[in-house]
Amino acid sequence: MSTGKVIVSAESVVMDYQTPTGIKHVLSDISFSLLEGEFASIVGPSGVGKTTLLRLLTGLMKPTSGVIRINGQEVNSPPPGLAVVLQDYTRSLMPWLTVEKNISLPLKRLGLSKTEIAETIELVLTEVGLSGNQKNYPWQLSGGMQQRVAIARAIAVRPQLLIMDEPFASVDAQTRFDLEDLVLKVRDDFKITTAMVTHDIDEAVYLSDKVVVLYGSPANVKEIVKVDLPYPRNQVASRGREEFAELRTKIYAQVRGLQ
Amino acid sequence: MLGFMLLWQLGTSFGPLSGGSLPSAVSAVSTLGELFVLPEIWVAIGQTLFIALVGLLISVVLGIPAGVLVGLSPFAFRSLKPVLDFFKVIPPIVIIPIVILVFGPTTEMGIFLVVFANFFMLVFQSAYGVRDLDSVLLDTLKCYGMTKWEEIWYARIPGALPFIAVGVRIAVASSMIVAVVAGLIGGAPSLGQQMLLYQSSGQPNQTFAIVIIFGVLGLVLARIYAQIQRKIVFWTN
Amino acid sequence: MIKKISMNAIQSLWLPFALVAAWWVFSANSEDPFFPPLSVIWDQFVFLWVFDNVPIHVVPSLINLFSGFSIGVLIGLVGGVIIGTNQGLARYIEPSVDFIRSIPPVATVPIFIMIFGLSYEMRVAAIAFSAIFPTMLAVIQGMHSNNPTLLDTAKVFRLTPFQTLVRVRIPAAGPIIFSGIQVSLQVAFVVTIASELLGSGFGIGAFTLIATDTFMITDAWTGVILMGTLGFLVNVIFNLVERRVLRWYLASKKLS
Repeated sequence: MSTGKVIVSAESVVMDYQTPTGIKHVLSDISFSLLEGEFASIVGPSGVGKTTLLRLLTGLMKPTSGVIRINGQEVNSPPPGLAVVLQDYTRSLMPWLTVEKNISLPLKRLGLSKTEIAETIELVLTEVGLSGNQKNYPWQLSGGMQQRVAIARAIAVRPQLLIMDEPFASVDAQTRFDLEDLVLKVRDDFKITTAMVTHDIDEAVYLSDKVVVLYGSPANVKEIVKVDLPYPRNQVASRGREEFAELRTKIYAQVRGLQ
Repeated sequence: MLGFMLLWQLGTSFGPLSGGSLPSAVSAVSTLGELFVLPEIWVAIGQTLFIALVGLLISVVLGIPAGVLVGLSPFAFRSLKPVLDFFKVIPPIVIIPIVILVFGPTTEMGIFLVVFANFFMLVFQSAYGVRDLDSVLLDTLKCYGMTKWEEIWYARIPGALPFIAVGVRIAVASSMIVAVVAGLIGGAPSLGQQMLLYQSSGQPNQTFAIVIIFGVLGLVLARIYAQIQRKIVFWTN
Repeated sequence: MIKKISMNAIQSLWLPFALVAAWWVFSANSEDPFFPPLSVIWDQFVFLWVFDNVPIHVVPSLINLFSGFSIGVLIGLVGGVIIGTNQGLARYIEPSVDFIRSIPPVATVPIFIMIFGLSYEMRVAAIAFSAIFPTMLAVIQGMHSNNPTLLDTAKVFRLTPFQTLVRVRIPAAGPIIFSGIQVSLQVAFVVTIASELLGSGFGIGAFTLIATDTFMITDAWTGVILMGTLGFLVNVIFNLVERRVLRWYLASKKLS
């Protein structure tokens, strides 16, 4: 599933916060890497620092010590070639712009012509199953559809790295399964390196090549669990396999501190 | 509505207000009819609207851009906030004595008063709206590599529009009220001044009828603006 | 920590100080009769208002303001609760309330002069009347916006209608009601001054009026500054009270 080239690496990353009551140590000695085309999920107990780690990966925050590299370059601010899909789609899409304007905005810096942009938009909207919705406004679409628009926007820029922060936590369970399968499809078609934070262990196992388990206070990488389930994956078949149950139990136990 | 009118009529015919100077409902409404034929009334209505709308226009044209600029600079906002907080709660009626001395009881005085009433509030609302960019949106845009200018043009300014719209809505109502005050207390040529003339010359029916006109004007302006607002800030419910 | 507080204080206060200082300097040699030097105004301000004239003018104004305001807000609260919790009644009364609300409060003063003549009753009545409507409308809106889930929960806990009203509905509408009361306060303040400017007798507004009529410009300036400062202070005090009473609301907002 991957060419073996390291796209993202975290090297001994430490993150501390200044609070009125003293220094809070959130992350300590986080190290892992992502190869090109790999899909990694980041899981852990609530409040352990998963979102903090994501913010470090995107360059929105700088680590207290240690280095984050994307394509070998140290990350101090959002690097080029980044795409994000966040949990709250109502707040990450601009309600005063149409779907097509929302998607075309990040495309501007790629230097494409007007026709190329329009074609790209049509392409990604078709990929996420929303073909023809260019002129609609986000608030005219359902929650699941809005998140699809966010995903379409992410694909459109052909990112080096896709970061997702609990992207499906705000939709109902059925829509969630549909969106998970959409992510798998996008992965198949575009081979984008992805790091996703999720609370849902089943989802992590279902979608990923490997699962990074964060645990402890301050948090460190408890284990990186390889997920060897065969592709193409399927909601019914894959989740029914023995390995699936073993993997999820193992990861769940670690997140709960039982292992 | 009818019930209220009925109550009013009964009250003035039989109740504690009868025999007093408060006109009965019927006579007030009929006087309203009488008034509408008088050209002075229409002139006065026009004058009042002129003061209100010109004042509103000036305060919008000056206040909103100034507010946006202030909002874009954290330093400017922090420095100006106390000044804005102070001036935006001072009702314009307070400065009327001085303003009358300087401008005299004129239309200009009225317009100045309207601008004074709205300017600081509009600057504050616009600045606040520009600053209040959703953090989720800001993070998303930063990750996608938006420049500062793109952020301002595509996100901050449209995002500020709902706040600005609220400010303008308040300003619309306030312009009308202040125009009336300018006339009533400041003597500026307007319906307010006309009302004072009626009252001091002992014509209760007319005085009351003008109150009704004020109410109607206020409602009409508010309704018109509500339609305009719906078009501009179309994405809010 | 102290450093941070004083940094904030400097950033907030430098501009007001600079503006006042600039006014002082630029007006120092003013010969314009309408814009006397700030130093002269200041001297006169201290002479007049610290503290001789306070009981004569300031106190009556404030008494009228607070009496009228309290009466108006009380009626507004009670009326608002009654109308807001009664669908049928609301339909009859609301249009009239809406209409009266559109009338500039100051414009009602001549009406009250007609009814009561130029007296203290007139002022308090006018102030009270205008203070009713912002509060009443806010209470009605607050009652309408009560979260149905909250009401269902109250029913399940078998609270009496009265208990539900006092312990659930009104506190839930707290923020809306408070902003309505604040508008009532501002309106009451305006009408207080208006009633004095149109009438006669004692009060800061009345004082300023006489000063303008007799071309005692400096006195008039002091009156204006006093009114402006009072208007500001009244609002500040109100906000402090509001913040204390609505502590729960502000705290829960921070969580979300």
